[in-house]
Amino acid sequence: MGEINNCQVLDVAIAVSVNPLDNRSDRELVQCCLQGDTASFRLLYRRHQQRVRSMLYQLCDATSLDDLVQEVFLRAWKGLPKFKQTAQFSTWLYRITWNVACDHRQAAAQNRNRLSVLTRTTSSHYDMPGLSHLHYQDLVQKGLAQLSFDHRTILTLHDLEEVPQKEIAEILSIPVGTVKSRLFHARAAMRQFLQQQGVQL
Amino acid sequence: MTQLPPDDQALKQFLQQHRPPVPAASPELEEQIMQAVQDPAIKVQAQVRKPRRLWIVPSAIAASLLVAFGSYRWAKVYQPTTDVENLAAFLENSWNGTLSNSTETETYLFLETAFQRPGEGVRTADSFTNNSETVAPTPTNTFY
Repeated sequence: MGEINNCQVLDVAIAVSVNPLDNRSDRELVQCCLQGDTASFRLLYRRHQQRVRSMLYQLCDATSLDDLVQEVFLRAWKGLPKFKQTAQFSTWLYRITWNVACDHRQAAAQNRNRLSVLTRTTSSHYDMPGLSHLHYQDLVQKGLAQLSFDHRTILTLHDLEEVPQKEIAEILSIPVGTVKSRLFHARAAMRQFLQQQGVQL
Repeated sequence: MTQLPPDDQALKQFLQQHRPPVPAASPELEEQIMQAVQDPAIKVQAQVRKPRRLWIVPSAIAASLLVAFGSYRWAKVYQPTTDVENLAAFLENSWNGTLSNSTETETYLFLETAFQRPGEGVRTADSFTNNSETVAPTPTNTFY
């Protein structure tokens, strides 16, 4: 009889039902993944997929969101042996997410010339509170879209996902000072756009 | 944590409050990812480390040391002796040239000045031959 390690014992429980309150750290789950434990990877997926999805949605478009999320987690699975245990798994995963978003953006840029029609929604009045909220959501989305890719990335990570500046610097491989500078300019551009749309902050 | 300026705080709150909702994932997405992960081709890539080409580094160092040692030995064995021979010939000629133009007395005096004591006058050839006291040096037959 071979030895049964902790990963295998927990796999039995995970196979029945993945416990969302599993208190194992990301690092421990990564260790189990490196032993071929896919159930631990499922836990990692469930922990981080929402944030990865949200980042990708802000940085890319919604049409291929599922494909991009799948690409991120497949790259993560393939790259786990190269993952340095000293780093945070989330930081490493967000860097992969950012790389996937960059690749997608480059591919989209190649197809940009094929787009002949730009859909422009006509301005309308929003009298009801619910419609007003939808209007603002639309403005935020448009405001993010009109930012440069770098500024959109910074604003999404810092203001929407609330990732600390130091972690953003690690994800993007840039100094913290550059993060602050980009954040300042991204906010200024966003604020200007919102003011042009009649939003006073 | 750094305190945000009031206008930045307001902008951040506005963005978070009205951030566009993220579309829900397809119900099959998780299973698709897990099936892809369990694909043997991907599994092998995930579990088998690619052999790193670290052997190149010690091999390169060993080769460099070997070349350096070999070239040093070659230079030492095949060092041309002409330089040494030329130097010996030059010294010999220089020495001969120095002595060949001087008289026997001058040569003798030259040697004697080496034994001159501080504060003592220079001894001339006459002072030695006549066994007399030290005399004042004359510019024609003294060496400094």
